[in-house]
Amino acid sequence: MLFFILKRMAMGVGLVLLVLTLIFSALQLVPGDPAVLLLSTGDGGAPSPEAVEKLREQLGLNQPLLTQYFSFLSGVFTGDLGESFRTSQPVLEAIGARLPRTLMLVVFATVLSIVIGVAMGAIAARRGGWVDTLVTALSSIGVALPVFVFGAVLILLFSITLKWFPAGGYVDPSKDLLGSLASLTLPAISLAVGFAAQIARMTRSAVLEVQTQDWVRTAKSIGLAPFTVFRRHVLRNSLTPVVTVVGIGFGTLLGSTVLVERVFNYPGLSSLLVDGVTTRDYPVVQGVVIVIALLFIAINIVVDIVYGILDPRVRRA
Amino acid sequence: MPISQHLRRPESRTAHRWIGAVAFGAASILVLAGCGGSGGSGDSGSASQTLTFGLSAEPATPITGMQQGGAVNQLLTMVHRGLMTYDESGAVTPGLAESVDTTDPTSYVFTLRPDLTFHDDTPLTAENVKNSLDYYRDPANGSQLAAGLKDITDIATDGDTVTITLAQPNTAFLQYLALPFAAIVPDASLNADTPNWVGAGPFEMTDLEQGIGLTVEKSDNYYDADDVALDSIEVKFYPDGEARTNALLSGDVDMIEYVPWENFQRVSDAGLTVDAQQGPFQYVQFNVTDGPFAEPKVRQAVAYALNRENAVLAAFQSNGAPLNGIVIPEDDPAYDPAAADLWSYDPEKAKELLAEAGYPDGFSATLLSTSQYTFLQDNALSVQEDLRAIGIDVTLDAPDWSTRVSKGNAGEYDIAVSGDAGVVTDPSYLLNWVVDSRNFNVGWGYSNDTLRGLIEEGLRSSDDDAKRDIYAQVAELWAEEVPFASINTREQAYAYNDKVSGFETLPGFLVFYSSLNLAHASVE
Repeated sequence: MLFFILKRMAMGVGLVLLVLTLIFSALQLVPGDPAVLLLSTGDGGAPSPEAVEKLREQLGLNQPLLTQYFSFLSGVFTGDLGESFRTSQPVLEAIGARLPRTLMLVVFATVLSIVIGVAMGAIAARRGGWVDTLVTALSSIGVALPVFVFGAVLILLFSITLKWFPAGGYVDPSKDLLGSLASLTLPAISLAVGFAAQIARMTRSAVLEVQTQDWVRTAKSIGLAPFTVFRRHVLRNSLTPVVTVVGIGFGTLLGSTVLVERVFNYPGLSSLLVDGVTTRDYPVVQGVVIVIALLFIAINIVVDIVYGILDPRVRRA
Repeated sequence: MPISQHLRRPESRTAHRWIGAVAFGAASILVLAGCGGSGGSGDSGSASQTLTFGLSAEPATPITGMQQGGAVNQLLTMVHRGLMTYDESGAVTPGLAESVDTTDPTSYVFTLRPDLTFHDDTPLTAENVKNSLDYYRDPANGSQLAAGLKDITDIATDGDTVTITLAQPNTAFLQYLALPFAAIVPDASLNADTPNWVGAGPFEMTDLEQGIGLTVEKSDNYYDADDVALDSIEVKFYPDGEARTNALLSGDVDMIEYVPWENFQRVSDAGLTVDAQQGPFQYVQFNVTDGPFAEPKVRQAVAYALNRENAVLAAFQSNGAPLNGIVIPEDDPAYDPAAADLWSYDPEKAKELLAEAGYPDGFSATLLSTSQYTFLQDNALSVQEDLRAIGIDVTLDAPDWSTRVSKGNAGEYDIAVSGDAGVVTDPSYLLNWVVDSRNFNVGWGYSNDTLRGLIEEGLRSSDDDAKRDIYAQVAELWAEEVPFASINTREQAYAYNDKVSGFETLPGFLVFYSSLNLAHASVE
């Protein structure tokens, strides 16, 4: 077992190195000089060559590529991801501030999705008839609806018309907990809608399948009340595949934050990445990608190990 | 039945828990809904005057002297002041200087206001003025002002006065001194490593939260502090135009800059003020190194082929105006309506010109623009249609802005669609397009010494009639040569709710410096 874990970890380290090299090369291949971009915007005023040269020198962009690559690598392994070209803020600090915000959003959205999805799926399967049709229709819409469209509708309704929630932005929960939750609600709902729909479908079909199992018939035959049978024997057993979906969905949700953070002007990790890419802020892009890669690799290692513990056959593979 | 008893008890407990969780969820959503609404109105009711301002980008850290785009300039106008500044109507007026004496067109004597102090409480002296300007005029420092201040030969200080000597007269000189990035700053800020936040302007930067926003508070050190009504401005960053508009409409902020054109109507329909000025212009630039566009007649053909009304409608929902020539502000001595009317929409004439140039059947070409600024892409689409109509088959290349800049800087296009504005309003801003400076904003490889000489002569000319004559010649040559073919001007707008009063945008290119007027604004 120990060997299995070590093997998985070693593969993880190899993957991280690969990701680091890929992201460094990709940024070199993309056109656009960070120094020029820092000094120019959409409405005119091209920078002077002197200004560009000076900035390139200051940012270390005039160094040979190989030097830049190795100083980047050694930086990563000593825990120094450099400083943002635009704001001079240490990248690690920027990520430290923004990662929790995005995780907060994703966790909030996941909880919402599970609560709403499981409830809807269970009700649809149990009631059947028009309720089932309605839930199935709603979940089809939910899966198909682009998050930015739904987000825009929520803003129009709840921010601009009713003025119940802010149209966007971020409030630090340590300063104003309720304000923070209020600013999280709409983005979390728009993030959750697709995922909730998916969970609802999964729950519905799982429940329908489990309902026909022998043990359910047995439970009914010993005279348990129908709701008891449902809750105790059907729903609980139906949730296993749902848990798997949630595990996979978490990663997808993390990816969906790119659009949600844009629509709601939410200063999370995704918006840091998007702004970094558009301004060719190399250290920021590299840093965020590394963190996301590490996150995914770590999740995969954990999943592999858990499978290994649950099923000895995996260890031997 | 003991089995069912055993099963039933824990189950009813969990059922309660389940219902409780749902109830809690519903209740908390209701509570959140309530506090979201009250939170917004509670903030604005306080006694001190705080304006919340939605900025169109997360600004880069300001570097002294560098031109870093609109968002940084907005902030510089709050925290900084130069020797000169712009008044509420856009006229150049003394800023940190109390008065300016011009004994002859090449020497300026500035007398500083008494007891000037920077935000860090250190005194602002004539020496600081000299050091700042010496820093700005040295091209080695990469300052964007180096070209504007290149005529300075000497800066001398004596007590509270600063005397600047120019090599030759320069009618735009004072305009350059009024720019937000020409501010007088402490000597410690005169390098590229110190963030350029400390100034002598009306507001002082007190809090910066990367990615979220920043706060500036009224500075008691500002020379005109008694007239500043706002106690603080809370700046929030909204890179997305739609999110920025939503923030204004929902009351999250009181004021925004850079209103997206498609939202002008929506904002004014909601009862808010859209305060717009016709400012920057869009144009077609040419790669003249070889191929058809090296031939002036082909460039003329393009200028006649453009349906500018269409472009204004497509890109700006009519919040702009067709431009058939070059922009010269009406209050400038060089102003002549004829300069703004060099070409018209005349596809037949365009075809004739193409035939004369030896391309009766047209040709194909690439057109570079960007998808990141949709108004530039929409203008490009309009240009593409117009050129197709005269036989030029145009392939559109619309990458993100970074790639567009890098392709522009490498000359990788036949024609391109751009937007720009003069840094100052003096028509000498046109100099940019007649030198072979090889950057993304200028026609690749174009230079014209005659035009350049004329514009520089205009800059030296303090005689109004002479300046007008010079620019008449510039316009005539421009029509012939077509260094760029203009498409339209666009309205650039700030929008605010009715709590805000006393704010007005500045005319023309100066619209980007309108935040100077926040020093005169107040909120209810």
